[in-house]
Amino acid sequence: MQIIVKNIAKDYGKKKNAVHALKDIDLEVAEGEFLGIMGPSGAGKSTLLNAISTNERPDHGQIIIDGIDMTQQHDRTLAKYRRHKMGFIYQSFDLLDSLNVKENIILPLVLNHSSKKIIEQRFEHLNRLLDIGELSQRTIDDLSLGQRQIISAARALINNPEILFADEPTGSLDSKSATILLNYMQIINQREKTTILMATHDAFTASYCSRVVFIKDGSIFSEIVNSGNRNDFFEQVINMQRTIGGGSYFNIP
Amino acid sequence: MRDSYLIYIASSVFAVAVLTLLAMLVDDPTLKSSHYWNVTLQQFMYVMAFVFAFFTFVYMTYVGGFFIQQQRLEFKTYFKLGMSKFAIALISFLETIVVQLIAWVIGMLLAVILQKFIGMLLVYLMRIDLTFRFYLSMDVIWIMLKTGFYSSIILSLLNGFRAYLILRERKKKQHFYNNWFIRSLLGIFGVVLFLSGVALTMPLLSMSSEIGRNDDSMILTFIIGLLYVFGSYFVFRGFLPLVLEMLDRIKFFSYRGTNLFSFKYLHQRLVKNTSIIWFITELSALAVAMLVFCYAGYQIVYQDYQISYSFSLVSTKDQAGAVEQQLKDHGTKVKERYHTPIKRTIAEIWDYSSKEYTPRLVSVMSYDNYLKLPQRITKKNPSIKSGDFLEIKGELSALTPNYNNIEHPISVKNAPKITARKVGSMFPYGSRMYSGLMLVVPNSYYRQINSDASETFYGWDVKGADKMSATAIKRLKQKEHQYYLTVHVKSSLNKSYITKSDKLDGKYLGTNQYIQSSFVRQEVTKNIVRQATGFFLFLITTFSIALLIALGSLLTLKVLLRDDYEWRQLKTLKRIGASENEIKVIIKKETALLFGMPMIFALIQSFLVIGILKLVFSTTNQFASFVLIGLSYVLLYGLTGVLTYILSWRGVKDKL
Ligand SMILES: Nc1ncnc2c1ncn2[C@@H]1O[C@H](COP(=O)(O)OP(=O)(O)OP(=O)(O)O)[C@@H](O)[C@H]1O
Ligand SMILES: [Mg+2]
Repeated sequence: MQIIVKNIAKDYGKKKNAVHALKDIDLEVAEGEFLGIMGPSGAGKSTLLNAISTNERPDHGQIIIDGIDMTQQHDRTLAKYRRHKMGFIYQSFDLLDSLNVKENIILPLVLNHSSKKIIEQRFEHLNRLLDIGELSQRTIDDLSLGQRQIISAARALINNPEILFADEPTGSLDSKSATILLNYMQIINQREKTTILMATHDAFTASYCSRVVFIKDGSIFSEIVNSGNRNDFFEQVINMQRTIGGGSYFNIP
Repeated sequence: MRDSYLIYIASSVFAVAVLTLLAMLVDDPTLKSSHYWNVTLQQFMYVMAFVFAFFTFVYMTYVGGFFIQQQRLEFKTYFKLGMSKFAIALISFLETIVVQLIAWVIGMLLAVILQKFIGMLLVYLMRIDLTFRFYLSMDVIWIMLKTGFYSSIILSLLNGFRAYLILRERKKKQHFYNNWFIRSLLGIFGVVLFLSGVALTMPLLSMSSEIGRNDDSMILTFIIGLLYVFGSYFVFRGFLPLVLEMLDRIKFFSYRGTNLFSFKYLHQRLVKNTSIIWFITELSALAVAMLVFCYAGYQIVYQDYQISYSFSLVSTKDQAGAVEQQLKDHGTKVKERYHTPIKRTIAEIWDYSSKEYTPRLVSVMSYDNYLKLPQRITKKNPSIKSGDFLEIKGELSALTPNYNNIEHPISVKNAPKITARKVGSMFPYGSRMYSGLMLVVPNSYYRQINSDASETFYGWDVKGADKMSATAIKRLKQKEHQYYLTVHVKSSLNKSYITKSDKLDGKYLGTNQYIQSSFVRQEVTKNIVRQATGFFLFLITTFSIALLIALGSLLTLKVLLRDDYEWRQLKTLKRIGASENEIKVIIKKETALLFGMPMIFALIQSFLVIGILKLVFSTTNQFASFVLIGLSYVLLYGLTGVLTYILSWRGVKDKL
């Protein structure tokens, strides 16, 4: 899936309190790309992901996915598109407290009226992969933040999305779980050509990407392409973070 | 948050306004000056105002509860930030008292403004010839202010306490009902109770309402009522959640689209609102039943009237000539003429309100003369033989308690005591022609009575219109022609006597003074029947409708006010990819459930009224009235439901 973002902008609030969350952003994401989005808190990462994933309409500009201009589509079409082709890991997890873990994970498939057999199969598969079997009957309320994050990742992946949006997917995970999740993302990215857009603060997480764009105050500041060497790429990311400020290990005077 | 303040104020204003209006009506001088107003009606109105006040209070308690519930998270955060429980309870106390006081002031102002309008409507609907003046009763205002003050304090204390309880809630309480097994058992028990209520209603309908069996059927009605009240509670508490839970567990149903979510969501909404849905169901069943009762009652009374007042014109002896002259002058076709001599004396009859024998005026006609009366009217009375006594009750059988009660014998002055008698209400001269008691007695008994003031009643049955001119009627009805009878009560019945006079000494009739009308035209009676019963029934109707509207608005509030938790769920669903349509369907189901359940159960329960009607009025099936009122109820709630759904969906759409 190729994504072309043309000149989009988004403001929140009115007049005095207006926040320019996105200012004229242009971006192209090739099919099968694993794109990282980095930047300090409040830079507009989540807003950008929400706009591209058609969860929120930009004030102006175009978002073209696979040749279709999403900003021109009806809400109903967008909902269908999201459901069939996209997966989301939200920064705030967005799990349904009234459902148990298993129900939360399979919800996208159920919404699509998939057959029971496929639902069980996919669920079993992710269970094994992300090692969440024991959690399946628990209620969301009792889970730790990390557990919630992994559940929300499982939900995003269950319908084999063609585009995966991941907003800070490893923020609450321990390094082992984070590595498992990232490896899996890398695998589906390589094998199934899933396009991935991931916002993160963490340079290690970003080092899985094939390219990272940096945004600051709602505009694209710069970008770095992964040449193939993870360690070099990691260094580059950290250097860039130092330049813009924000991020996990800098800003120490 | 601003929304919930507004909703809270608006619903409280509504309740206060209705209550104030009702209170003002009770005390209204214009209505009191009407002679249909009497002490019983006044007492009835007081009771009604009181009952309504009670419901208003319960209503406001519920609404106040929603209001606090909405702020739950906020309060919890204050608490986490270190505010004391007491301070938070104080905040919610102050908040509530401010809202309440504002609502009382606005509600009362609104009532004062609307008062004249409502009064005029009342007078118009009853077709009473009164001009409704604007009147501000300081007493009522003062009482309402006091009530408002106290109820505001109580409700605010209650809300303070509620806030306190919210903070104290530690773990989810392992409530008795939360046990799946117990809840299911209760649910099934509820279904059994409810169904046996339904099953028992059927024989009640076919039960004959002979005297003596009345008690049994009254008890049965009461039992059915109890079965319904408890049955529906357990159905709501146990059975419906059980059904939803089962649907949820069967993957065939739940693994389809939004079902996986919506069964749980509906379940939650239902469990959270059980008591209020139940409250609304029971009260609206009551209101529907009262409406059917009034409507059917009115019809019965009206039919009763049409049967019992099938005369056209009647007069006293003095006026008979004048009437005859009028008829001749206008060439009116007279089908039938009849007249009956009447003796008047004094009898001691049982007074149900003071529970003692009291001397009253009694008019007597002989058996032979009774037989001469038009058969088409008298045949509807129980048939009597030459030796029987018949008491003719002028009141409308339908509305008179103790109508059929003949337990208490009647002692007539200087004549043997009457121990056995029959009761009927058909009288070819109409009830306006006599006061006190009217008796048909055996011929020998009639001869024995020495009359203190005899009279002869004349009746005409005309074909078509009587063609009398308005001035002629006015002349015939003039006060000069009527006379007054006074019973002078002495130490014993036999020493008491009656005097006849053309004028009254004072301005008003005393307890044992009676007017003898000189002339009655059917038209007049029609109005009296309509107004007197209409008045009474209209008030109950107003009350019931106000109750229904209040309950409907409570449901609307319940649907509209979602707490943060419920909002978050819908929002999340949307973000995962549920389309607007699917969410719309969930909202639709939610509204349908919250409105549909009370409607269905209320209708089934209120059907009991048919049985009650049969007991009270001993009439044949009043099914048509029930269908009519039932349909109006469904329409009213259906519309409210649709409106609620639209509002609810708008709110959700804006917020998601
Ligand atoms: N719903 C909203 N209403 C008003 N302002 C918003 C809203 N959502 C985001 N913003 C503002 O838009 C700007 C960008 O927010 P965004 O959530 O995209 O930042 P972010 O880069 O994801 O930050 P973080 O790293 O903390 O997740 C911020 O200034 C934020 O306050
Ligand atoms: Mg963010």
